[in-house]
Amino acid sequence: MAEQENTPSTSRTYDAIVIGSGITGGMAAKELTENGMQVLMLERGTPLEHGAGYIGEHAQNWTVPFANLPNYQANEKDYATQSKNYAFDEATRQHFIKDSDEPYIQDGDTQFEWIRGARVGGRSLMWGRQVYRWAPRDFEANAIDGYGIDWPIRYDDLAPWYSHVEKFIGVTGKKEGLDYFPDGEFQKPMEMYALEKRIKGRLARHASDLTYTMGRAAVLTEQLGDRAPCHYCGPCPRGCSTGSYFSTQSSTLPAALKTGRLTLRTNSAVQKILHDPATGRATGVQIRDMKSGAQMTYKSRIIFLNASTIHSAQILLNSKSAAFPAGLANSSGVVGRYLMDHNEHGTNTGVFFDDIDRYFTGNRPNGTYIPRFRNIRGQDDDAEFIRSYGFQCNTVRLDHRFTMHQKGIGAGYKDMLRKPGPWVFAMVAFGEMLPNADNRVTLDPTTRDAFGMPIVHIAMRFGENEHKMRADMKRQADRILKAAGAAFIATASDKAEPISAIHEMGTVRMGKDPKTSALNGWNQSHDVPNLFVTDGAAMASSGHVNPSLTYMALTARAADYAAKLWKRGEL
Amino acid sequence: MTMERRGFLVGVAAAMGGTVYSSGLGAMLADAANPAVPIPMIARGAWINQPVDVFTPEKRALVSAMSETLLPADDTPGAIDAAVPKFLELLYDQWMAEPERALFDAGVSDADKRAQTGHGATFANCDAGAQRAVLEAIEDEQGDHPWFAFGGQSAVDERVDIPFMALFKEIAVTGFFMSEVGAQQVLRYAPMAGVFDGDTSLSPDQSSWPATPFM
Repeated sequence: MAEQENTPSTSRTYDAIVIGSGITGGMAAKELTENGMQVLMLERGTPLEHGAGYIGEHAQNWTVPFANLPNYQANEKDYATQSKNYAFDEATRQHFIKDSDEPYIQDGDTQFEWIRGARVGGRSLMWGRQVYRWAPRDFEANAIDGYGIDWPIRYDDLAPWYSHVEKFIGVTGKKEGLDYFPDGEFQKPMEMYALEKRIKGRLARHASDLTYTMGRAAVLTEQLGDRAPCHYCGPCPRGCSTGSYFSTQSSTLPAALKTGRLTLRTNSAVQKILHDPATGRATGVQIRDMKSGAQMTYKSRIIFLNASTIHSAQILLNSKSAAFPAGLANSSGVVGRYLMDHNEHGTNTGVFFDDIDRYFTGNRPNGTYIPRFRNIRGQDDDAEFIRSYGFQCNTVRLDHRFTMHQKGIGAGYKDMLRKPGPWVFAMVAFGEMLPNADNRVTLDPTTRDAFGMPIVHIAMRFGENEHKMRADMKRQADRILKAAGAAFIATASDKAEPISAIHEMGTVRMGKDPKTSALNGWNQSHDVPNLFVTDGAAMASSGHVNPSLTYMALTARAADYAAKLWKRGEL
Repeated sequence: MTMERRGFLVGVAAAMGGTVYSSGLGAMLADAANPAVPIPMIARGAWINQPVDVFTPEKRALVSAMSETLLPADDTPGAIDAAVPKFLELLYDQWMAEPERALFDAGVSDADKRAQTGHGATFANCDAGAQRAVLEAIEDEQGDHPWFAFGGQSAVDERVDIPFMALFKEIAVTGFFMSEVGAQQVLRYAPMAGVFDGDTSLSPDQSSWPATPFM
């Protein structure tokens, strides 16, 4: 690999600065450098070397501190929110921020668990890896039912970029040929458990309105460049030195470095994007060096803001000037507003007595999926809600972690714990959340965090549609688990629990009208033409499938557009 | 240790069908000797291989006997073979806060008192039948707590109004099956498969694989 050590320079003017090195920042850096641009990527977190940095990778259970029991004293002190994340354990702690360094304030009765990455690669290191295309209807829904503003693009605008991204990141999945659940560029699908094959057969007979398919994940099942197929060790978020799941480290960062045109500066907390009212353009960024504490300025012709939904809004709102008293690129007043996350409905569990004599080899880092089946083409007669949802399903053979609760002392108890318990099939619904101006991010007027930024207030509530949808999710989960043949069924409460799908989006939304949106159809600021925002902040609605693939496709498309303007000398 | 670790890595590479490993693992091996870089967990010894001395000899004997009563050696190793007593002493020293220490102390003292009152000897000096009867009696009294429901709550996550037996079972069972002895000799040693097959056979006498986190 022709890696080049580029030293960051405050005197030169970069072709582009990319703020953030996560899923979209890495993609922006790759696309822009491959288009010939000299790029400075700024990451406020610490470096993390692919492979050598993954200190928890392949850890034997007995080497993990406290046998991986949650270290609650350390967690309560420094990781009160992060430690609630499914990917947080003693072997991944180093990938997460310390909540004590950068607290946030939940206004009203908000219960929003804001999960954040602390290293180069951001949350691409410990993401859930599920990747689904939006359907054509998702881009049309705002225009059809009037909730939210119309998207400035349609599925056909993004489809080639979905393909572009899928081929690069590597996606395993099974084609289903459904227009409301578009197929992508897939490597071969992963295998199902015996129980899943049985459930697929039962659903085909007893719930034939459903499709049940393998999960689509950014995990390789075939060689891709120098990235190896998955070796099924299991806990991806501990890091993967074979690059078998997509992360910045495994994929976009090496590609960008290979061009020789990327400069990566870590420990660099962007405070503000600087703006010249004479030209109407952004001129660069002001950062705080987290090691020395020094304030520095870097200049560029183009800026890609990829700090993640809430941080991107935070940076814009903090970039106030006489020209933009409410924050940069915020003449519309929408920046920070219309915060959405997915309407995640807890774990619906079915216990099965089938396939007790079937077992497994290897740990599959992917589940199964039931695509949308409600409001597919129009409004279902019996649906009291608009938009839709899908079920992510996980099959688990219970072990001592689940069976230790049974009564018993001595040899019988021990023998019971040694043996696998029944199979469990767990379904989690992810539904669309409608945009609402009152769900928003604002800045605290006085308090700053360890990165020198005003701390964030988050106000976030579900609305009536989300609650009605959750009631339907609960009913449908019960119907599906019955059709699947579960012996015991426990559905989750349909009461709204903390909004924590880690799919936050919408704070710098795209739209056709500069009065009601911050970005145009190219993720380009209406107000500041050399500023692009291509992370989740840009979303004008939430859809209901896992959003990272869409963010990446939007990023690649916007980078291509920006590079064309740059080549023509317009930016 | 080094040989074992290298052997494991070679096994991983072989399992992957001869795929050339990226440079990361080579660097990881090199870094294992460099004190400035955190040692990867795979290159570390067992977490319990560190000194601890916070229990009196009497308390150590009591905790040891209680652990072995819960998870006795039979055709497979038991709690003492897997160093569960030492694991609990390390948790007491490094992991528990005062409320959990108080709950733990009260619980083990209660067991010892019951042994003396009911069976005329300290718990550690009772025979196996009496030891088991004492722990069963405690569980009977505490067993209405929601922890004892199917797939019940986590004592570690909840930590409010948790009965002693819930805490004791959760930490002893976890320490036992996550240990090197527990994972390899009580459960089945599972070198990295390199493949996924969701439809293998399981005979009635076969155990689970060691636990892998769901992420």
